[in-house]
Formats: sequence, structure tokens, C-alpha cells
Amino acid sequence: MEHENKNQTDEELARLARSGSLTAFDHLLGRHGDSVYAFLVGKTGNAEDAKDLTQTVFIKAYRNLDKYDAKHKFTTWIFCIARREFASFYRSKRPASVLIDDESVAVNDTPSSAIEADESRSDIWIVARKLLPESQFSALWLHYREDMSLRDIAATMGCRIGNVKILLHRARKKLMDKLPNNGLEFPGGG
Amino acid sequence: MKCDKFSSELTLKGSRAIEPDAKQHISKCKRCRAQFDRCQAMETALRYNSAKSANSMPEELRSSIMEEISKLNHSQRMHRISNPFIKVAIGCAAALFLIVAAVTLYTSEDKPPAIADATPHTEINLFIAENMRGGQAIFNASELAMRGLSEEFELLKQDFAKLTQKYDRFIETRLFMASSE
Repeated sequence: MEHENKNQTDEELARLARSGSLTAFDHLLGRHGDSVYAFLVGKTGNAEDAKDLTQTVFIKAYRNLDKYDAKHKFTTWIFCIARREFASFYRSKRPASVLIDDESVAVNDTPSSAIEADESRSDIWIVARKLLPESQFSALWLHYREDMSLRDIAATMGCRIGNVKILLHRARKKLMDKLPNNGLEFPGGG
Repeated sequence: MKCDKFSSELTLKGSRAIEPDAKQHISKCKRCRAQFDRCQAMETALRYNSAKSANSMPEELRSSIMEEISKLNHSQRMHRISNPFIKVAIGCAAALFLIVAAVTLYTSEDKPPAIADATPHTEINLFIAENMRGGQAIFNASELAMRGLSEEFELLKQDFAKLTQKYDRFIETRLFMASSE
């Protein structure tokens, strides 16, 4: 049964999970858990919040499996839920997270936090999170990290392909303008 | 003048989707080449940078999610099982209620209206109905008198007198009530 599940598509697994198969849902979690978690870590910048959000996303997905339309990719659907969950989390936590960001700049004086700060400067996604609006960050992440097509990104974000192109264009432009222009390689870049 | 021919195309399409004629220009123009390299480096960083954001989901998170899901699954299954029974029970209760209501209505139609709610006219009719026996007594008395059976006639006369008294009291009461209203 487990071997069968491994060969099944996400859409088939979702159908099995809808009919009550926990193994099928476990496989879906195994396939997409890491990418959803990484997406939420990237967006929140905080592992604890990302854990809570990932849990909420998958529980919500399980509850709403009967609403899932197998015509669309499961990835598109789960990222759509993740994005919405992040949006509601952001609305509720906005003032606090702004304060934490400011504090972390002022308080980080210990050697370990200095290393961490250095590391965070070296991560292009941390720069992107601070620099870009939510929609541009999401479009960029889904395009480069999840390797989604423009059509899938549009389905995930609930907009047109043209809008996705504009979001990506603006995001790239902003990053190109802000990131170092001294002949050095981009952080993490080959 | 600085060449800025393909910078917007680069950010619009990305370094991978650049047109062949642009590639030719890039190979010749130093500034555009530098821009292209910058864009390519940025895109590579976006694809493969894994400083913090590429964390994989912790195992305890996965087990905690599955624990929640199995609880949810159990409650959903219980709901699915109990749902038909609940529906049948509600249906039975509704049917029973309808039957009881119909029987109550049917039986209540046979009952005479309560005395307190009755009109004076109905009261008088009731009084007459109750005392039909008195009327029968008068008839019987006249029959007996004709046959010359005096003893029975006397008894019936007493009955008749009682009946008349009762009737007079009733009339008096009604008149008193009417005057007091």
C-alpha cells in the first residue's frame, strides 16, 4: 500500500486522503511539508512562527480536501492556503514583528548573534523579504524556489499571468538595484 | 552615453529567457555583459541560496501534524457514522410529534366547550339537555294521572317541583350576572 502511494500523483493521494486514508495524507505531507515550511520560514523569518503556520496550513488543507479541485495541481492549492495563512498571520502580528526587527538590530552584540546577522545579510531571501512587498516576494519564491510556471504562480496568487510577470519584473529590478554592484558574486550565488 | 539596451528585458524575462539578438549584443557590449552577469548571479542565488530559508520541516512538526490530523479524522469518521442515525432519530421524532398533534386535535373537536367560556345561550341549551329527564317526568305524570295512579303522580309532582326550583335558581343567577356586568 505504501509502495503504491509513492507512485501515485498528488491529486490521487488527495482523493485517497479525502476518503479517509491517513497514509495518503502522510505522503502528501512528506512531499510538500518541506517546501511549505521553507516558504513560510522565508516569509516570516522565524522558525517558530513557520512551524505554527505549517501546522495550520496542513490541518486546513485536510479539513478542506473535499473543496480541492483535482483539475489544479495540489502544489498550487497548498501554496495558496499557505499564502493566505501568512497574510492573516501578518495582519495579526504586524506591529510586534516590526518591533522585533528593530530590536534585533540594536541588541545583536554577542559574537553568535553577530555571526547570525552576518549570515542573514548573506542570504538573498532575507534581503528580499525585507525589501519586497509580500506579493513580489511570493511570486519570486514560487518562481525560483518552487520552479513553478507562470500559470501555476498566477493560480496560486489568484491573479493573471501578466500580473505575475510584472511582479517578477519589479522584484528582480528592486533586487538588482539594491544588491552589491562591486563585481563580487551575489551571496549564495554560483 | 551608457548602453542600457537590454536591462529592462533582463529584469522582465530573466537571464535564461533572453532573446538571441540580445545575446549577440551582450557578447559585444561590456556594460550589458556586466548587467547580464549580475542578473544571472542574482537568479542563481535566488534558486540555490540555502542559508536559512531552505530548512526542512522538523520531524516533530510532521508527527504533531499527523497527530492532529488523525484526531480530526476520527471525529469526522464518528460524525459520518452517527449522521444517518441522527437523521433517522430526528425524522422519527417529527413523525411522532405530527401524530400526537393530529390525535390531540381530533379528540379536542369532540369535547364540549368549557362552561366558563360558554355563551349564555349555550348554557341554557346545556341546562335544558341536562334536564330532559324533568320534561319526561311531566309527560309521565300526566299519563299516570289519566290512568288514576295517584301515588306515582304525587312522586312525579315532587320531581317536577324540584326541577322548577332548579330552573328558577338558574334564571336568577343569570339575571344577577347580567345586571352586575
